[in-house]
Formats: sequence, C-alpha cells, structure tokens
Amino acid sequence: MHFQKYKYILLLITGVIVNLPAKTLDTNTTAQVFMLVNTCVGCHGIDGSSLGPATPTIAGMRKPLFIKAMQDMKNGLRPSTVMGVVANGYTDEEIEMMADFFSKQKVVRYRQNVDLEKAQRGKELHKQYCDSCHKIEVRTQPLFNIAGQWMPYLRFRLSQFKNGDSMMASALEYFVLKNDSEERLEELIHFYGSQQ
Amino acid sequence: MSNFTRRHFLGLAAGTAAAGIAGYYFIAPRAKKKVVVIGGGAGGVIAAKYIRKADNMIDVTLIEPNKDYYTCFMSNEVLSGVHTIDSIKFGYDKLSSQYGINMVYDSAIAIDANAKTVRLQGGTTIAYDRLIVSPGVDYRWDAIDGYDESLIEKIPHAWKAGSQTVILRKQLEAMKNGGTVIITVPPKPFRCPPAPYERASQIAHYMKQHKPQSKVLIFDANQAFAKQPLFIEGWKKLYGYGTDKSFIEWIPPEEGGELVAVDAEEMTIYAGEFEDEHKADVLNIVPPQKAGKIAIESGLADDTGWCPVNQQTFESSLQKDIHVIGDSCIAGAMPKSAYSANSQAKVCAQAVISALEGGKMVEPSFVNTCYSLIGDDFAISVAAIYRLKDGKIQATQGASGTSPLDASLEYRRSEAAYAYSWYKNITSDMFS
Ligand SMILES: Cc1cc2nc3c(=O)[nH]c(=O)nc-3n(C[C@H](O)[C@H](O)[C@H](O)COP(=O)(O)OP(=O)(O)OC[C@H]3O[C@@H](n4cnc5c(N)ncnc54)[C@H](O)[C@@H]3O)c2cc1C
Ligand code: HEC
Ligand code: HEC
Repeated sequence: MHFQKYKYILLLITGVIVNLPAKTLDTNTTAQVFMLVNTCVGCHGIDGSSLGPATPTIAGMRKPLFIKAMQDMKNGLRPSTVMGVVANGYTDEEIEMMADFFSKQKVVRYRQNVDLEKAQRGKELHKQYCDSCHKIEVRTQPLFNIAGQWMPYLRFRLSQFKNGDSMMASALEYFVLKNDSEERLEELIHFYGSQQ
Repeated sequence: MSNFTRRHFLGLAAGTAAAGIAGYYFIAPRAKKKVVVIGGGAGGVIAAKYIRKADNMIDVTLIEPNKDYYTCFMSNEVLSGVHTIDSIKFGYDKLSSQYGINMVYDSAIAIDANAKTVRLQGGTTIAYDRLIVSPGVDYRWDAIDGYDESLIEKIPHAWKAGSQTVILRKQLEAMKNGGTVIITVPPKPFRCPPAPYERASQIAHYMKQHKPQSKVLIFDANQAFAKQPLFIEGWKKLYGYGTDKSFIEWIPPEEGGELVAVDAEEMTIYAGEFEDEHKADVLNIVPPQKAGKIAIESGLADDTGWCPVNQQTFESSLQKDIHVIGDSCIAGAMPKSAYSANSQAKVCAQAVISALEGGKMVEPSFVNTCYSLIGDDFAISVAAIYRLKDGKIQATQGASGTSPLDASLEYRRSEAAYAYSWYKNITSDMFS
C-alpha cells in the first residue's frame, strides 16, 4: 500500500480546508480571549501545557488542526469523553479565537516514563509506517499534535481509529497486518513519548 | 508586561527621572489599588493569582489561617488508601515568591463594609478597595439532634480535608472485617454533589480488598443524586450493588433515609419517619451546610444561608465593593465544586480589575466539571459550559452532559486517567 498519494488530501485536511478570513481583533478582545481560554486550563494545564498523565497538551497546536479537532468533537465526528460537551459551548468565532491563542503558546513538555529500547525501535517503525503522513522534522509547528504528547492519550486516540474507515484506520490496519500484532504500536507510542 | 518594564514605563510616562537605587526604580507615588482576598482555597487562590497575572499594579493580600491547604478533591481517595494525605497537601510559597501576593496567615473575624476594612484575629486591620470573600462552607450545627462540632473527633464529617480526613481513614483501618460504615447525606445544596457517592465507592473499594464482609450504607435526605445512573451502574459492576452481597446500600428518604438524630455514645443514628435505629462501626455525618462563617457574620448571606451576588461580577447584592465566590455564593445553575470556584474566581478577577482600572467587563464564560473515581481505573464525569442569560448563570443548551451509560472498560479507564490529569492541572493552576 502506498500512502504517498494521500499527502495531498492530508494537507487539505490539516491546513488549507479550514480557510478562515483573517480578521483584525479589537482592543477588548484580549480580555475576551482570556475569559474563554481561562476555562480550559484547569484541565489542559497552564497555557495549554498539560502536566499529564493523560489529558493532551494543546499549547502550540496549529490553528487549523485545533479548529478541526474542536469542530469534529463538537459534531461528533471524532469520539471524545468530555470534549464533545465542552466544544458545543462555543461558537465558531470563539473557537477561532482560542485556536489563535493556543497556537501561540510555547509548549512545555514534561518527562514521561519512556522505555528507551522501545522508543529506539519505534523510531524505525515510525519512519517505515507513519512518517509519510506524520513528518517529524525540526519545525516550529508540527502538522500534528503527536510528538511529545502524553502516551496514555496517544493510546486512547489510536484505539479510537480502529474499525473506522478513515485514512488513519487504514494506516493502522496496514501496520497491524505487517507486524502480525498490535503490540508493536507500543514502540511507536514510546517513540512519540520520548520526543521533547 | 513584566513587573520591571511596566514600572519603568509608568515611571517615564509620568515624567519622573528614574532615580535608581541599586537597580530599583522609584516611581512617583500613585496609590496602588488594594484587593484583599479572604480564604486561600479553590476560589480565593485563583482570584488572587489571576488579578496579579493580569495587572501587577494592583496590590493583592490573601488572608488564610492555615499554612497548608489540603484539597477536598481527591480526599476520598485518601480514605481508600489509594493516595496519601501528603499527596493532597499544598503550600502558598509560589503565590508570594512568583506572583507578589502578600500572604497573611490569619483569620478574618470582621468586615467593616463602610470603612472598607477587614479585622483579623491577630489584631491587625487591613484596608481594601475591593474585597473578595471565598471562605468555603460552614455547617448548620443546630440541625441534627445529638451531633455538633464537639463530636467531630469521634464522628468525623471529613467535608473539609486534612485532619478530618486522617481521622476517618484511621477509623476505617481500625474497623473489623464485617463492620458497617454509615454515611449520611444532608439536603441539597451542599459542597460537591457527587462527593458522598464517590466516597461510598472509595470506601467499598477499600473493603473489597481488605474487609470483604463489610458494608457501607448511605442514608440520604435527597431523592436523587448527581450522576446517579452512572454510579449505580458502576456499583453493580464493581461492588455487587443490588444483590445481598453488595458492599453499598443507598437508602433514599422514602425508604427512611433522612437523618433525624444521632446517639454518639452508642454510635447509632435514627432516620426516617419512624426514626428507625441503625448502628454503625464507623459513622460519617456530612452536616447540612451554609456559607462560610465570615460571610454570614458580615451580612453577605440572605435567609437561605448563602450569598446572593451579581452573577456577572460576583459583587454582593447586599454589600458594596465586596465580591463572594466559590461554595459560599449563589451562582445560578453552577454546582458547588472546585472547578466552579476556579471558573468563578477568574471571572471575578476580571470584574475587579475592570472596576478598579476602568474598562468594560466582557461577557463571562464558565465551565464546571467533576470527575468521580468509582474504583481502580474506573471513573465517570460531568461537564457543562455556562453563560450569563437574563442576569443568571445558566447551562448552555447542548453543552452539558455526563459520561455515557454502558461504556466500555477502556472508556472508564481513560476517564480515570483524565481525572488524575485534571487534579494535577487544577492544583498547578492554583499553587504553581
Ligand atoms: C469529599 C469532597 C470531594 C470533592 N471532590 C471534588 C471534585 O472532585 N471536584 C471538584 O471540582 N470539587 C470537589 N469538591 C468540592 C471542592 O472542594 C469545593 O467546592 C471547593 O474547595 C470550594 O472552593 P472555595 O474557595 O469556596 O472553598 P475552599 O476551597 O474550602 O477554601 C476556603 C478557604 O477559606 C479559608 N477560610 C475560611 N474562613 C476564613 C476566614 N474567616 N479568614 C480567612 N480564611 C478563611 C479556609 O481555611 C479555606 O482554606 C469536593 C469536596 C469534598 C468535601
Ligand atoms: C473537563 C476537562 C476538560 C476541559 C474543561 C477542557 N478539555 Fe479539552 N480535552 C479534554 C480531554 C479529556 C481531551 C481528550 C478528548 C476527550 O476524551 O474528550 C481533550 C482534548 C482536547 C483537544 C484535542 C487535542 C488534540 O491533540 O487533538 C482540544 C483541541 C481541546 N481539548 C481544547 C479545549 C479547549 C479549547 C477547552 C476550553 C474551552 C477545553 N479543551 C476544555 C479535557 C478537557
Ligand atoms: C495515510 C496517511 C496516514 C498514515 C500513514 C498515518 N496516519 Fe495517523 N493520521 C492521519 C490523519 C489524516 C489523521 C487525522 C485524523 C483525524 O483528525 O480524524 C491522523 C491522526 C493520527 C493521530 C491522532 C493525532 C491527534 O492529534 O489527535 C495519531 C496518534 C496518529 N495519527 C498516529 C499514527 C501512527 C502511529 C501511524 C503509523 C502507524 C500513522 N498515524 C500513520 C493520517 C495518517
């Protein structure tokens, strides 16, 4: 199976499709933005950097990715525990204001319990199976919110893709097929968890 | 703007020659506005910190009698031995060292709303431009025949965490296998609606591992409780609820669940219309509640025993320039919880800054969430977004809900992991 052809679609999903007009923010907006994001940090950590062990860090998320995540959870397109309810409480405009705020926050990563051998093997697996869509390179804002993310969250997230019909579901199916089991997914998770 | 640059900027703007004394910039005296906060808990700490974060030209003093704060949240997990008492203990050091908040370890004993001062137990009087009151709850000690404050060492309420939590934990540890624990739940409203049921779950969790012949009975003054179907489902899964082997029994008022009297000597309660007698090995009375003592004594509460406020700014409806937040206030549809107090404190901080520095108050936005840990790797949640509508805080349509029934074990496990994350993040929001 070749995933290269999906790259274009992927860019659409994660970037270009969310084509919002750039607006200039008026002066009272700063207070308004804080009013909104202040309600998130009790769960997501100060400025969106979570202390873990599971709730994802949302600091530094690219704006379109953030908006897509919120909209998908709001519309039930993406499974969630609390976020479906939470996202429903905000208008599109408010979501955009919050996306703007969190995308500008510096990510603080906390050390996780990583098995370095697994992480090492995971690095190779990543190159082979995932890197085509999830490039992990040195860039200020990665396309996805995976590298350095809390490992339990990544586990929950991966298991959500099972049995679906998305690109990710196919990628996982392919991975499991090639590796004969799901166990080696752990190596990938340790690799992502080891990224600072 | 950092402390330094802002001072510097103002100094220059005022045309004052910056007279540096060992690197310290002197500014033309401009009376700093003074905010005093009573109570270093879930509400008070956040209000103090967020005012300083947004505007370091406001002088903030936090009054709190205790050097250590034990969170009520996660204290049920101390009862079951899942966590230690030290793991729920926090100090106020960073609030002074990082945010420049003046910590005063004392109790407020009187508020003079006309003179705008607070008198402390230690004898000092502190002046304020705005006062924020977040003292949590107090108990209606006269409400239960045979139970009052003098008995809390023998019959703990453990509804404030700390030594009370430790006493109850020790009693559970000392109890024989086959013992009966009784929890009594007061009429609503009380601090943290799901907490009595989470407590019963945690005690059952402990019994299941260490004292499998034992039982916990919940005598309830209320006909229904928060997240009830989810608790019941969890109790069935983990604790045999509904069978004769169940670790947990819930007795609603129509089955004689309402507490009438306590005989402390005999460790017996009398409950229900016919005042049936029930003997316990460990007795945990959660007393009926009202606003914190200082709020009531300062004329901030109405005849419900709670404090009415303007729900946009949390300014008292009864006293000028005083704001009440957290468990003590009447905050529309929001339940009394740490997340509510946190959310209200942030809105109140903006209201106080607008009032002192001028500027329009923006539309408030609130969240509440409450996780309950029913067992190991097994949690449920409730979450809701609230906005101001017709002057009242109301849940936003479609933006409130609980975990689903019939969810997989993996789902419950993920919520347990999220519950611990919530705890870490909200306590770091407060104390670091
Ligand atoms: C068993 C239990 C479990 C809970 N679990 C959760 C949960 O999982 N999630 C959740 O969101 N909430 C939970 N809560 C509720 C939560 O603890 C409270 O709602 C929250 O602490 C309220 O904040 P507050 O600021 O109003 O009061 P508090 O946090 O109680 O703070 C009040 C502070 O004021 C101080 N004070 C009182 N009087 C004076 C005075 N005169 N002068 C100076 N200082 C004074 C006190 O010492 C105290 O430190 C739970 C509560 C209990 C009892
Ligand atoms: C009650 C705790 C809680 C609150 C409050 C909360 N979140 Fe979340 N958030 C979570 C959890 C848990 C997840 C993981 C998905 C799930 O299970 O709901 C998550 C996931 C997310 C994600 C997806 C991250 C990714 O990498 O795809 C975004 C974006 C997000 N939240 C934004 C917000 C914003 C913005 C707010 C404030 C308006 C907020 N959250 C408030 C708990 C919370
Ligand atoms: C064909 C392209 C493709 C491949 C290959 C692929 N993914 Fe994905 N992945 C996606 C897309 C698209 C999404 C976004 C899905 C969505 O938001 O619904 C995604 C999302 C994810 C997420 C969730 C990210 C978040 O922020 O919530 C994780 C984790 C993930 N992928 C891991 C992997 C792993 C591990 C591999 C290798 C085994 C892999 N992916 C291979 C396309 C791919």
